[in-house]
Amino acid sequence: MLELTDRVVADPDVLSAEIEGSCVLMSVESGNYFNLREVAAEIWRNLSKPCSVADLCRHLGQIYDAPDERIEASVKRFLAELLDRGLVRRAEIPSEYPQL
Amino acid sequence: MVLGEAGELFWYSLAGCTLRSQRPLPYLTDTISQPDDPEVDIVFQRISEPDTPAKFVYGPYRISSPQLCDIVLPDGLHIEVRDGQRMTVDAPEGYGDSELHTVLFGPAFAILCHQRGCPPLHASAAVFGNTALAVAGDSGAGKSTTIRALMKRGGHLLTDDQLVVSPVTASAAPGFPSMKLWGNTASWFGDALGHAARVSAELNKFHIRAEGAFHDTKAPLKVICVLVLDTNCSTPDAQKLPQPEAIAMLDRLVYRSEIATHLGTRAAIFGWATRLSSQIPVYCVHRSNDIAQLDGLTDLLLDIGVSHGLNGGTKP
Repeated sequence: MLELTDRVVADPDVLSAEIEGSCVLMSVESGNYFNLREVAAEIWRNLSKPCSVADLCRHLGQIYDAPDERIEASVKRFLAELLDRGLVRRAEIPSEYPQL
Repeated sequence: MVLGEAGELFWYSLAGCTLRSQRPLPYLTDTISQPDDPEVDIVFQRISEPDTPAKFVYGPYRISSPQLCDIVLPDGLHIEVRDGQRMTVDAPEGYGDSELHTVLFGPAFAILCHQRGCPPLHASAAVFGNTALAVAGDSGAGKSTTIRALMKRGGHLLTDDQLVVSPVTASAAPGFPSMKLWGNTASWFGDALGHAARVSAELNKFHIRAEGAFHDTKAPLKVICVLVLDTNCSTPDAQKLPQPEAIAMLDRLVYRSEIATHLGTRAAIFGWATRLSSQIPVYCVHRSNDIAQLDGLTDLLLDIGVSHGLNGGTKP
């Protein structure tokens, strides 16, 4: 189960192309293809760099008119599916910069 | 295999490349172009065993690096494909021209194309009035048979089994002037098998020359039809693929895409498929394996082609 503080990032072995507002993905590992549209595509675009679930929810909340709880539940469910299919992976939480 | 005079070189054109060979390659198209630095050199010599084992082995393919792949067959044929520029052939004594052609300009040339950054689509193509229609599909889908049927309708063969097409200009390059047909299929079309050469000693499949019906220059590709064998299909039917599905289909149908990761070209192929799908419409065409359906299938393909700018095709 993902928490708001968890960070995820697109798996480097997933190829993607932007087509008319949707994202076409190809998993080199599995050989499977996926077509992400609308909100799913917007989430994918934000996963090229490690991103926390909270930041992702906040970003979507600025775009879509929906209650925070619903956005959070939908994002967690979708990310879990991406994790399950090997399209994203968990990213390490960055350690704080050492104090000088 | 026929030897040339000592030092004599033979020049051919294939898939937009100029080839220079130490021996005659009778199934290719001669070219008068003899540049100092041809795109591809084909040399015949012994290949010594490598010092280090291949990093990846897949069937007969031994990939040492993206720029070095060996194909080693149980019958002793060994072809080294290097740098997208050179194919070295080590063939057993008496190895036949037709069998060598099957491998050298089948899998080996496909690897060379991958190394050159122009992945070949698993497709055959016919030209009507200087415009091309491609028939793609997995092995056994009926690509060559369908192209042969299209030739009965006025088409000229552009290429069989592998199609090199630019995703920028949508220009399709000519292959060689023959196609591989099963003996019973060739007979059905009335093609004489008397002098036809077998694809391999074990198969009743032949290289059938497209006598007088070969298009030897590039042609703008108007449409790609992907054949899907469906035994329950009573009449052929077609569906235009949305671009995301077209990308997936083209990407999957690149010849030997399954080893592309080890050739370092996986991402390039996906990019190629994405660009090509934005240039050329892709259809999925279901057909049965009933040869009596061929007229209906060619009617359907020509209708699709004409709707996308293909010039012609005759009704039977």
